[in-house]
Order: sequence, then C-alpha cells, then structure tokens
Amino acid sequence: MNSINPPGATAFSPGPRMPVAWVDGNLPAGFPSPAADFAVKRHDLNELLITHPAATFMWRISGQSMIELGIFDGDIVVVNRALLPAKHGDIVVAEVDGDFTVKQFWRRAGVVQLRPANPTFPAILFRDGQTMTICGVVTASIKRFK
Amino acid sequence: MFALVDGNNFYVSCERAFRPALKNRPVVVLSNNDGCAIARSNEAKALGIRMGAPWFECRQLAEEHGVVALSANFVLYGDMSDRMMSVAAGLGPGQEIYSIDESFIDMTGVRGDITERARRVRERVLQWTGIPTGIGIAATKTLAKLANHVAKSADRKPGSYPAELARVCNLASLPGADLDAVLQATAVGEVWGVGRRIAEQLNEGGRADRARPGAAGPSDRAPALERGA
Repeated sequence: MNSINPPGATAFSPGPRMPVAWVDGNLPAGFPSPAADFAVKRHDLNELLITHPAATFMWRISGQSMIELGIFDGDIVVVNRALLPAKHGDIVVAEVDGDFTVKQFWRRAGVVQLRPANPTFPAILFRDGQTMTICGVVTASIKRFK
Repeated sequence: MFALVDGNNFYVSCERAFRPALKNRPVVVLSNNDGCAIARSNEAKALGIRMGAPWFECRQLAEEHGVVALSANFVLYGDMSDRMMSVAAGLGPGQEIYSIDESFIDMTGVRGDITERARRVRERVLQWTGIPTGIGIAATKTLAKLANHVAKSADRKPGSYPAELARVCNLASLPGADLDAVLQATAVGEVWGVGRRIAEQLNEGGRADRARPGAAGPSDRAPALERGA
C-alpha cells in the first residue's frame, strides 16, 4: 500500500467511528423548474385510440362504400374485437362470402342488414339460415393528409 | 393445478384470422425458403401431409387437392402469439409461456368452476384474436398436456373421446372410471416425455394409463419411466 503513495504522504488510517444522523428526504440542488407543477403527459395516440391492445387491429380501407360516415379510400380504421356483440348502428368489420367488409350494422324489427354509407351501394340483407360473422367494431378512422 | 392453452394449427389460424377465404380449405404454412410444412390445417392433415414434410415431397398431392401453401410470416405469428398469451393469462395467477403457441397457466387458488372459467377464456381468445385454442386442465403439467391432446382430438376427430371433453378438457374433474376410460383410449406415446423407444417398452398392452403415477405397481412399469423419463 505504501508503495503507491507519493513520497511524503501519510498512510490513511480510519479513526474512531462516528455515528452520522440520516436525514430522510430530498435535498434540492438547483433551481426547480417553475413548470414542474404544471407538467402533463404528452398525448399518446395508442392510448387515445386503443382500449384493448390484445383485441385491436388496424386495417387500411379500400373502396368508397362508407364515405358518408367519414371513412374514405386509404383511411386506416381501428377495429376493436372486444366490443362484440355489435349494437345497432355500430360500424363493423364483417365477414361476407370469405371476404372482410366494413359496413354499418343495422338491426331493427328482427331484420339484420349491413348498410353502406353511400347511396350508390346496395345494403347486404341477411335472412334466416344465412351466416354472417361480425369480426370487430370500428372505433376510429385515421386520415392522413400528407 | 395447471392449464395448458394451445393454439390450434397456430400458424394456419393466424393466416385465417386475416384471410377468411382460407377457412374450410386445406392450408399449409411452409418454413423459411418454403422448405417444409410447419403448420397444417385439419383439412391438410386429413390429406396425409405430415408435420415437417418437405414441400417437394407433398407438392404433387397438395396441388391435386387444391392445398393453399403459404410462406411463413413470423412477424405476424409473433404478434398474434403476444395477443393470445395476454388474453390467456387471465385464466389464472401464473403463466409460463412454453412456446409460440402454448402457455401453462398456474391455476393455484382459482376458485369456482375452473372448467367453465376455461371455456370463457377460450371464447375470449377466439373473439379477441380469432385464434381457436384447446385447453387442457389437470394436476400436473404432463397431465395438462395430455388433457390438451384430449381436448383437441375430441374436437377434431369426433368419437375419439367423449364430446363434452372437446376444446376444454379438465381431467381433474373426471370421476375415476371416466379418467381411466380416457387414458385407456390414449396411446402411451402421446404422454409428454414418452418417445418412441419408451413407448415400445411400455407397449405390452400400452395405453396411457400405464404411465399414470400410482395406476400400477412400480414393477409394472418400464425401467426408463421409473427413472423419471
């Protein structure tokens, strides 16, 4: 140990032990930000749009059948599969003849329909014995302008 | 008590969740570079396409029967696995993810009718993710695996086991005689850890009840199994 000390240095030896009181709490070492009390979390789009992460999928829309409800070709829709069974008026993703389609779910007086939101498209009607699978409920549509 | 939640034909089910036109058709998923069949739909299994079969070997058979062959999309399967696991975790307090498509759930302390609870979780996994699963419940992981085999077989091949064991099979809730019947109907090689060689040794009369602890005297069982195989 001595060999690494510079010449003339005295070797360190611990003195008698002194108890030191522990003061609990934080000691500020700097000027606190005046904005700290007003801090908020930034918006997180995932948090805003997704309530059930395990059950939520996003699909890109192709086609014009839902334009009157604000869903356009190229939009991305957020689809929640946990909100089933669908209620009258929900915008849903349904499986029809081996394909997915987005339509408005309509159920009135025992009649179930999938209604487009575009007068130039026909409604899809269902009668007894026909199967229709509703795969999820559309909760948001994301539109990009740039 | 353990439950094993296992995705049915997992890679195929992931593909079907996004391509409903693949339902009710024979589908295989091929390994990287389209080498081997690594997942088969029930329809493809029925055609005799083996697990791991090289694609060049089964290609002709597949084309004759209109089999849809897909290149593996592991990014999709990993994401669907995460979703399935997070929903399955609701079954009990502990989860051990054993592979991409199966996880053991520790059911310790879960009260009430756990078979009914498992049915509800199975429905939820199906609704939320589109993946059909089989759930096996039993006192040990080995038996849970076996219960899962029963749940899937009863679903896929009606008549192989009692229909009420399809999809969700709780061996712990079965009366002794029914349990014996289930084990009698199961080949001993289906028991986890019993491979071809041990199965051969056990196979004089060999059904799964031969591997059941306490079912027969120790001298009755093969030495390999006694050693803890």
